[in-house]
Amino acid sequence: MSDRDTFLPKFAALALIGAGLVFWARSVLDPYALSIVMFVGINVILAVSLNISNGFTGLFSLGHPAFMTIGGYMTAILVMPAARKGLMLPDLPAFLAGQEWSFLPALLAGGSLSALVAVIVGFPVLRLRGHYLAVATLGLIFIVQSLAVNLDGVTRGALGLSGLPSLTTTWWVYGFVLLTLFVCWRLKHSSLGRTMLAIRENELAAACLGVRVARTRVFAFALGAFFAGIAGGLWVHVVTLISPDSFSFGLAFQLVVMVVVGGTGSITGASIVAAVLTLATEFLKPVEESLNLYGASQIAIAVGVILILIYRPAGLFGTAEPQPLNLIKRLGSRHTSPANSPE
Amino acid sequence: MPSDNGALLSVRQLNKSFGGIKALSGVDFEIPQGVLAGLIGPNGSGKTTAFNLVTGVLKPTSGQIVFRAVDVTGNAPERNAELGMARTFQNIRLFRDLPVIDNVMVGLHMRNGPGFWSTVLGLPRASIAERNIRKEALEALEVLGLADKAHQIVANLPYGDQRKVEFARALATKPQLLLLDEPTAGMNPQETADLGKTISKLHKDLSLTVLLVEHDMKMVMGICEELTVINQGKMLASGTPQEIQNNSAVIDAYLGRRREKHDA
Repeated sequence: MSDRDTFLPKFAALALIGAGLVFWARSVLDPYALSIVMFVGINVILAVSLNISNGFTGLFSLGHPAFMTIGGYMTAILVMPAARKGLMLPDLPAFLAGQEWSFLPALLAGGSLSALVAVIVGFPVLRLRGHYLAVATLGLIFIVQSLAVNLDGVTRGALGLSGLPSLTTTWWVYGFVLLTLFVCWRLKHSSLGRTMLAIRENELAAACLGVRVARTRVFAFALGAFFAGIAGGLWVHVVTLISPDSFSFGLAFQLVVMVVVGGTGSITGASIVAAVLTLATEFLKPVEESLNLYGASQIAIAVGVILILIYRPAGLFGTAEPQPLNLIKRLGSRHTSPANSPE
Repeated sequence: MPSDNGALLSVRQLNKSFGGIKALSGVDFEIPQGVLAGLIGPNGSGKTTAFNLVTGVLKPTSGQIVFRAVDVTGNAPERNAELGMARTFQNIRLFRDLPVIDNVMVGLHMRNGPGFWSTVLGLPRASIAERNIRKEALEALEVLGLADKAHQIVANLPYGDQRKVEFARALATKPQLLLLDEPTAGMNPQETADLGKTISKLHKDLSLTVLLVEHDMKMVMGICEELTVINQGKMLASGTPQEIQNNSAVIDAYLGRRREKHDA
């Protein structure tokens, strides 16, 4: 109860500390290192938003790359200067050809289109459960990819859109990381979030208590898709390129790993694991090259995942959010603290 | 809001087939407002199926279910919950990894839960709603004597307490009709007697209409005011506990009689 009342000041304090770190990073790091920082942030957005469906609501979705593709194309097309569109995409429908949006509204539009697609796809697909849902969302990745290849009037087909402006900065990424964390944290610790956890735990019981199961599932799926769309828009304006296979099954696997290892339902867990995995992949690359063992880091990560699933099947953090302050308090007075954390 | 003939729930000519198996055929019963009613029958007679049809978990093959003068045949469980049905399950279905109080709070979302935007923006409306939900959940737990266990993870509670949490969760939805599917399954005689008392107390204090599926005859005969008996998916009898105890069809099918008499 009390942590709800102190949530805003706490969040603001952490956001300020983070802003200080971003500021510091921008003044000391070279552009390559900064791009890694941006990928860390984007992966945090992706993992935390995937946690809404896969962690809170218990929908095993692999569909994030599909929504990133949709958001990425939408954002890229909207911000592209009209003159360049004329050259690159001469067949673009007139209502898109004249648009020249600034970055923020374009990102939000990309996210919204992804969410809309999630709603449309969600009503039939979310009737499926477990493995069937995973396979259906996997199918969604390939459907979106093949649409991107074949709608060449809008997407320039397999060539993709290259030479995009590098609009994404660490500040943009940081802002959306904060937004994602804020929304997810609020959601998880609310009545609505509890209904999502209830659906995950026992769908029939939730329905018999008046929880609108179908609607809540679609909502969770669409909210995750919204952030995935934004992350896609941010991503393509880091690498300045989007093609139909920019976001593929491999990425879906990585994101699911982040959620599963971090703890299905734990925002802190997903964020930490997303950051660690992104950095590890990056730092292990030169090691692989020097040892001539290409792919070794992927194998190491896969082995790590297997070990965690054997020894901590609920992930590192379970559904809990570790609270450093409470932890210190608990260590101080073991007997007085209520056993309210399953961690 | 009783219907024209005064019944809170009326079930007419209810049929349910699973493939070739007729689980229920032509079941009729009525539950007047404010009554503690029982639905009894031997194992496999279709009691739980009847429950699932009434609450909307299963769709009937044919027949009609009228609740609060509204035709609810084939409604989704969410809709029936909103109209005022709440149920417990024969095999406990709790949100196992959540604390006791969160289990109950889920039951309060339907009537009190704030929407997405007020939640995310942290509007005063949302925090007031959240506070009320917590308060009412605690009250529901107090009714069942579980307030001191509010913050324990539900999976760690003893079996009897888990049953009570299911109970509190159902009450939190502020039901008109409470459907209890074998609430004493797996309880010892002492726990059964206590729960029987709790049920009749709730029935009286909250003037709650209750439909009870139960095997424990002592408890059913002790607390129920009206009984419906089904056997092999068909209606066998209905009436007061007294009438049922003396009904020869019921005795043959269910309560049993001594063999010599039966042969004679």
